[in-house]
Amino acid sequence: MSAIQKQAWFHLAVIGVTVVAVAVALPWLGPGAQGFLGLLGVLPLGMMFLRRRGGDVVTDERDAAIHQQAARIGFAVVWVVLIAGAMSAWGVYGDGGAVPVPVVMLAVWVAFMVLIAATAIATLVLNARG
Amino acid sequence: MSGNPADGVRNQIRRLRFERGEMTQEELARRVGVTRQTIIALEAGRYAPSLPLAFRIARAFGVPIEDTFQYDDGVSPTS
Repeated sequence: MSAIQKQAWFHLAVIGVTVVAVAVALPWLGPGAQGFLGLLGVLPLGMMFLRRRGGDVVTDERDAAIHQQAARIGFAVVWVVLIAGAMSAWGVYGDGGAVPVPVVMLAVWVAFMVLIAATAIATLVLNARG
Repeated sequence: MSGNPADGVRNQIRRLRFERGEMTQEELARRVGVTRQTIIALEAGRYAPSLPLAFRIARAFGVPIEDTFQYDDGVSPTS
């Protein structure tokens, strides 16, 4: 498994654990369950898979091309999710309604997680395809 | 990355590896400065290398680049 594949799996694992933690804590803590979103702070540790080890090649031009394409796909997915979210808010709260601030904050966090997850999945798929 | 990953580029990497004392993918990767996964993708025709990488691979085998990589886009060369 290449370094960027390991990093992608790590990102997916962190997001998975975060989503599960928030979902499990929600019945007990209510809106306070959003505190478990702090687990996302572990994501930068994924860089440890990309550190140089002696003279070994960790990433190369193919990995860079995959990362670039995966990032494009990730941003495209986030854009679609954000538009869908905005349209849903319009449907839920109506023309004259107001979106609660916690919902807006949660939307930002969800968009961030969707970006990381979509990029990671795209990285794994592109790696498998070539 | 296009729909056709190798963009019509074919290569003789696997054959050249075995003709040079069964060089491993790992050894070739180390010589040309890429990961083993890239060599695997090249041999499977799932990835087209950049020009510098193509030259490095050809030099690693000690053969001209045309003996290592061939380009076939279905258009006959003009005489």
